[in-house]
Amino acid sequence: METPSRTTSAWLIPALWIAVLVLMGLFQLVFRHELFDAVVFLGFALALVADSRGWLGTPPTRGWAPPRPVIAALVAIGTIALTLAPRHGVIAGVVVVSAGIVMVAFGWLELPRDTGRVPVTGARFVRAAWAWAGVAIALCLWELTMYFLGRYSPGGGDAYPALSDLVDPLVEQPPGRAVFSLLWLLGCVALVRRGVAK
Amino acid sequence: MIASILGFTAVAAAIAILITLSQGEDARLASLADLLDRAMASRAVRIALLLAWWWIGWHFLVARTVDF
Repeated sequence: METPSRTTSAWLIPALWIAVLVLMGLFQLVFRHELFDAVVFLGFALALVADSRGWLGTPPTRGWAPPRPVIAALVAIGTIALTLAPRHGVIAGVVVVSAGIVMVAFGWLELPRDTGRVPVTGARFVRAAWAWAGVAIALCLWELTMYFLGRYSPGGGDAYPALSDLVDPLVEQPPGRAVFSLLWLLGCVALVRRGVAK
Repeated sequence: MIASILGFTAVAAAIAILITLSQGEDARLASLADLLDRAMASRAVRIALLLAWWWIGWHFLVARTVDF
């Protein structure tokens, strides 16, 4: 029988993450005026709400994954393309959007139950969850503080650079862009592989 | 600029500490991989994290990165 706390977390945690997507979408819309980014975040938030209500049906179970050599080759090709192609250009857009489509397509599928991996539970999990949540919230608050100070205080852009302002010059140069692209693509692969069915 | 860099450096240091504390079988903290495995059992969490990570690539490589 489900305990009340377990039942609550079953809907509260997903609801909080959907709220995070809504906040990210609204931030892009209101403060950065990035309509596409806002549509992506708000659109997926709506889709997840519809999914939580059971309106989208049950997707098929993830039953296949590309062999590791194929993944490694795709990461290498993507890194080279993102490094050599002009930043903010069409080729970069095709690579990044393709990666996003693959990630979301795999992420949306039901997780297989016969992987042999067991979800971690207990105090170790709770401590780690609170600790990582604290760090993530601290990062978001600091980034927002720098963003608003940089935007609204006199001469603030130089005095209070946000993370984007600090990283942008590094990504502008091919060596920095190569490192960033490789780490980003490896992160994409690592994240898609995570998740263990309960 | 120093304050900004110090803040982000502190966050990076905190991340390094958490990773260090989660190493080993008898670690007091679950590893980030184990944490993600359990959290991403939910489709909503999975999609939200994948989208957030994807957006970082989109933001720095394709879209307008810096506000003028």
